[in-house]
Amino acid sequence: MTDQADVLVIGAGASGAAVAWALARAGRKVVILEQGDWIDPSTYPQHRSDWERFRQTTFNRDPNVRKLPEDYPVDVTDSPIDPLMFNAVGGSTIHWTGHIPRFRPSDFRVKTLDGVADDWPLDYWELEPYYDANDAYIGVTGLNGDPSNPPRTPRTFEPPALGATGEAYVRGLEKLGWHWWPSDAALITRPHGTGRLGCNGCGPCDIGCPIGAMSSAHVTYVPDAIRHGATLITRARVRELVLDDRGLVAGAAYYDREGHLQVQRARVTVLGANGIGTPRLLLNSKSARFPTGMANSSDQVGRNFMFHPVAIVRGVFEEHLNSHQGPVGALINSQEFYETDPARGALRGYQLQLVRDSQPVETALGRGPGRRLPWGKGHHEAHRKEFSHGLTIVVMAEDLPEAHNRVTLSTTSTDAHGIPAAKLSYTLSQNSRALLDHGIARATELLKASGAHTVTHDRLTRVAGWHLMGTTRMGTDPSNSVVNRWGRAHDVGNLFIVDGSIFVTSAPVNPTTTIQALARRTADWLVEHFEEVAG
Amino acid sequence: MNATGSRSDQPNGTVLSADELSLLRAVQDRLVPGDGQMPPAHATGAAIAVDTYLAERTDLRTPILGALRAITIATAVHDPAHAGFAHLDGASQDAILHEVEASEPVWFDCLLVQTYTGYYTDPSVQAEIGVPSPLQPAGYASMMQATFDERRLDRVRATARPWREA
Repeated sequence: MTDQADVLVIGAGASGAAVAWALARAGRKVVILEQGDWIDPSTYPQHRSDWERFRQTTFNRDPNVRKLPEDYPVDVTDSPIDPLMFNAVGGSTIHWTGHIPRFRPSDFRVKTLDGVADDWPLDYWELEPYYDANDAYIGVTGLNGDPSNPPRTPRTFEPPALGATGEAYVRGLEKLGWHWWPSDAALITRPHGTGRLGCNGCGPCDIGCPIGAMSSAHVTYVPDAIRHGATLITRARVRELVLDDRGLVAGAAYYDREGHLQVQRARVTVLGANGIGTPRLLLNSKSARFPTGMANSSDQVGRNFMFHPVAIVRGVFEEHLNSHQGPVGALINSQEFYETDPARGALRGYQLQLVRDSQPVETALGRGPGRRLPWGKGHHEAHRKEFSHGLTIVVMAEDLPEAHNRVTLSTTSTDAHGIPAAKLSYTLSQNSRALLDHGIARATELLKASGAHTVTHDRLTRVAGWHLMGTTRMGTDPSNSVVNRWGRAHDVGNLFIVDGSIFVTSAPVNPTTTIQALARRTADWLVEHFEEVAG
Repeated sequence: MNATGSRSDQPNGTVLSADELSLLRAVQDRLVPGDGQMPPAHATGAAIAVDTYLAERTDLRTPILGALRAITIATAVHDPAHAGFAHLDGASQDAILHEVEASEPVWFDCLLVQTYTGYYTDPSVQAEIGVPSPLQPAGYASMMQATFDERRLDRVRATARPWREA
């Protein structure tokens, strides 16, 4: 048993780190439990010539491939998409392309505007100052003034020039007259903060940034939280939350680095363990009061799971595009097809994330819809024609919440500590399928307008489950939601959730900046109301 | 690694026997032959790389050792003189590889994936195709310093679909 903290934060990723920082800065005694470890910057693969092979192993995005001691398995036999995550200080912001578009105002009013899903119990304008504060704090690159989005504060750094890759995209976008804008990116192009260097465009941000240019949680919120007095305990695998006899959460039982079971007590507990880890933990926290899992009187914990279903469309060009150079995921965003258009045969919309292309090994192996290059006499010619001659469009559709898409506990597998693994049951809806089909056609049109001689696509990309949302959703009605508008559990007054689990709907954009804005908003509310809610 | 940064001059494997390593080199030279400035696989140490992967990843052993075994058996069937795969002419070697690719597609694909991985992570190959080896600390710094021309967005500013107020 350890000293009681004011606040226990579970998870040192995007959301947990942000909330821990805000509460520590306000003078609260904060303890963070993180099942992973610090990644030593010198061990990032980009420091080695053979860096690409680590994508297949320890730096793979899929925990079922990595199988590191700090990972937990996810049973995906009933899902056409593999969930991706990383377990370390910084969480999945280490395996991150840093693409941070915001939700639009309409994304918070889906039921009102389109008659499906639900409205959020807050609106864009309430969240806007937290978006701005988060951007200013972590350091972002981009350009204010996109008329397709509400105005926002100036970005920390301006975007770099389009380069050959961007110019090729813009050639097509201008021909078609579509919306485009330089991506808002969570990266810095000049030194910023403590020990962070400007991006030098090395390329594979998705396996972590070795120079701190990506504004990941482990180089922003986590070290600052510690400077403000927060205690970070790594390799701490939480087994379950502990309930006291008042029906409040008293803290968490966790396995420490040596495998010993410990209990961390706290007056308030905040979960930031992602859209799969958080429901897994709640479902495993059973008691007489909550026989089906903590905060689950509504039977909504684990339900309404949303991905952003993705189809990847790739074009190959005669010209050399230098498309292996630069931050892979943050170049241009097209929101031409963002809002609902009944003519598409589907509600809601999608974004076209126009990204860079494959590295040498990826090219040979065939990334996304790319084919494995032939072996033998024609191999080098094929590689010459493909490598740095490709553009890749990520069609990212808004997924709608459906109760049958859910996270449960596996009855057949466990993690290294014997805790039940997560099981994911997910079916792609007809609406999401229709959005992807429309997006594939439009992305193909764009690549051809840009000059591609060959265009291929995946109808649904399996290894693209980056965004995990909806499994403890917000709402005003405790019978059909898990947390209220502040992320506070309806059932347990001193339990808060701040990760993507609390999303009511998913919008068609990458969620991290919205997750961090929500986390900071919850933290501000907690600072003000701490004594009212603390156990 | 040798003076050019290649790993080709390491003679022995950790997991693979000398015979297996010799066979692997011959196979890889058919998978990734030399072409102009691009070196053949054996000159890059792709075989030693695969041996390293085998030492680190036990999951690769069954498919890769299985593929090599299948190639050895197919060679024996097609080569009554028992000269061995390395001594066959190129057309015969390719015929054997195509046969194994068809009969043991999963194993063969694993061998191909790891061969490509070993080949394209070799510094000498990376130098030929123009990527820094390693990527850090140089990266492609100059591309990040060139500034964006905002005039490129004039049309978008004038015509973009507005966001819906809600």
